[in-house]
Amino acid sequence: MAWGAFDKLRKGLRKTRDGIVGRLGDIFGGRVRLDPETLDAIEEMLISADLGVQASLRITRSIEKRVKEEGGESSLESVLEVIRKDITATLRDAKPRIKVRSWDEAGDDSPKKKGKKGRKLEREPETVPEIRPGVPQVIFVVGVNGTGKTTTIAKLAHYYKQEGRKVMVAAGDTFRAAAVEQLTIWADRIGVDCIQQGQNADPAAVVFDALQAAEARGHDLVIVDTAGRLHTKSSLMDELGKIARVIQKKIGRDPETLLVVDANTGQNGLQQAKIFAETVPVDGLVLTKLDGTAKGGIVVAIAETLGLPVLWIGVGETVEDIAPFDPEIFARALFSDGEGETTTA
Amino acid sequence: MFQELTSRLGGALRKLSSEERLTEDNIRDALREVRMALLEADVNYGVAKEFVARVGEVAAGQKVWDDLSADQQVVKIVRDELVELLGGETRDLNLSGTPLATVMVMGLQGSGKTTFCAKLAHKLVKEGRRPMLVAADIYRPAAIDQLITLAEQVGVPVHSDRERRNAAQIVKMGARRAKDNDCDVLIVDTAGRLHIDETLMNELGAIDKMVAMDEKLLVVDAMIGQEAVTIAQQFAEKVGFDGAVLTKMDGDARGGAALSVLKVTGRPVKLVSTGEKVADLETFHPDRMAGRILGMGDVLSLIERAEDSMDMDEAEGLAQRFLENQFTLEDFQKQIRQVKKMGPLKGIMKMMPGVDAGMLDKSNVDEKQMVKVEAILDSMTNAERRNPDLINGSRRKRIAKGSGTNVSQVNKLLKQYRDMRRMMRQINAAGGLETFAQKMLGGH
Repeated sequence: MAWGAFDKLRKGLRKTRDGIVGRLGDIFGGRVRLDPETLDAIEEMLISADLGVQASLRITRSIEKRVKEEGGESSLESVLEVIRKDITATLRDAKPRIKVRSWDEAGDDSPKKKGKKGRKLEREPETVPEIRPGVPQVIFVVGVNGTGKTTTIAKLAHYYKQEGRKVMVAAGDTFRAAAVEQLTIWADRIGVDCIQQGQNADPAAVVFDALQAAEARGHDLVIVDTAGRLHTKSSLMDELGKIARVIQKKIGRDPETLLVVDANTGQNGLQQAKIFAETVPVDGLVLTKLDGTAKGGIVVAIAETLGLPVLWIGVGETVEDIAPFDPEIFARALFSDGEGETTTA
Repeated sequence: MFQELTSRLGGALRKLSSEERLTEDNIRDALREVRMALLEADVNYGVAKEFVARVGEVAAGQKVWDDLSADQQVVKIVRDELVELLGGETRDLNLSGTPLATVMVMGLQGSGKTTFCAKLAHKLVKEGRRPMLVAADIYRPAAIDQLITLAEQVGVPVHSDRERRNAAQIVKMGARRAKDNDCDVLIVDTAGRLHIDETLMNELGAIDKMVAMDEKLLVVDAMIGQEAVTIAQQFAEKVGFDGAVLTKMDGDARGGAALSVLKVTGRPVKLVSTGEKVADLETFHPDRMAGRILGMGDVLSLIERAEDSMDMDEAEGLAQRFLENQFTLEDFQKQIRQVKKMGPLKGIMKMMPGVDAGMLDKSNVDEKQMVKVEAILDSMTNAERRNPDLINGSRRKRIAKGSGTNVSQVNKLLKQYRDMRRMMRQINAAGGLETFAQKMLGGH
């Protein structure tokens, strides 16, 4: 199943690769000389993949160094290897560095909270309990509008159902017109339970309800949908924090939080990831829509500056089109000259 | 991130004096900064490169002006060139088709097509047109429901068909129904699709063939990166389009994609979508977009919004009373209501030059504070607002209770009011605002 997705990823990215790497190959005929024009072309290749200015310049510099070491001329393959190694390492070593701004800071300073309940809340982060029997695991899915959260949830629900888990989805996007219907239809198709209270319901209440129901019915995994929101809307971000706290209180630990990022996203993705991670404890990213010509290079910039790893990739419109993320395969799919690929495809 | 372009350029150009000319040599560093800034705003690599070369040509040979510093001068050139490139002027939609004008809305998945369709319908209704929406997205689960729900909010009819699996047929039926129902604009919401999906791209062509479209609009997410160019090119080649729509402009993305799309396809951006409500759709203004890409704020939109929502006579009256030191709490209440009409404070501040979303987060503009102040004012009697000296201890208690605040908050407001009056008295005693300002600044 995972192989199917990778195959798709490779096919999808081939269009990209042929475009960016192919052109470089055309210009230099497999050999790379160290001149400004070459470095320009390499920089263009990296920036065109949305890696961002900072990462692109850094990688270009390390290529410059490598070519110098090899006597001013080197093969296209060894240049691509530098890029692949760099990207793979950046993505593999990513560890979340962003701290969620403390809930006390975020407001709610009413004095009565200082009672027993308040103290309990403060204590909890240190005594993270192991997965308790009867308490479902929760995956909390967040992101800006239109990145593919609902579709991703359908794919994840399908994935875990295949793994033998008893999955429930919670229709926490109560804002967008017909989002609840969309998730309900997916849930029907996949054959998992869906808890919903219709449009305009309080999302925190929907989620609480779902967790309650999951415990009662013996589900071991609840996947929570949320309305897409721009990270600049502070009241909507506050709402997201509230939903996370409701989950945290109910299951006694943070939900596994996934930020869905569209592979087409440009440099604004950094700001998105930063503010989401400051609002809820983001564990990692889901990179969606990799089946077009987009490269999704922004995840490298996000991993580099914020330490957020990519956990999943989405590559198509059917429920099978999701796979755990592998940095090396991703780097190889983006930056190789095609040789050696035909045998694995 | 980007708003420091001026200061970045300042560093690169500090050495220049007004005697000197800008040459390719002495502005090279500055141009590098411009290029970086454009790339960080997601302007396509090739477009940025070409643009910077052009700025270099225009700048070279210009004398450094006396009244502008060298960096300001370069920023001005960059801005002017950017406006030029963005199309110079505002372009309207072509809705002249009779008896039925036709609009087809297309784009990638998740770019915001369906929401845009509802917003466009709302805008057209306000302009006195009678639009009908057509749900031609036959793939995404619940896409039809989404359009129907939004159309209900806007009060516009929708043609949909859950049985038929042929989008072109659905649109044809929609056009017929629109004419029968005396509608004069047809807005077709198509399914999100990848520009490399031949089958789906052909579907768009088939729709256009079945019912000729007057206006084909490509919806582009403001947050999109370098791929914007490829996508726009493919849509232009395979289906053709007349204009682009930028969505999600209420975020903090610079929207460099707008520039790229225009440069590469020659199609102008016609509309921008700026919020979650159906009314949040604006005409595209190249000069404002240039300012946004350069992080220079959007003063014009701000002024326009103020003019839209403010009663100018009342505002002038308030200003006059302020100067004459007759400004009462009643006037203050009016003022707060006017500011509130302009929308959330953060939205207003974002349009000011030099303010970016990051700063807003830190500054913590407190909307709730304004709500509290308004509640306190509302809890006073007319007499109290006109003559705040009346407000003694027991009245304070009553006001605090009525507004859900406490006495110290009421006191704080009254103190601020008194401080303001005192300052105005000093100004008047000093012989008016102008003289006062001169004294304060120690000027001539």
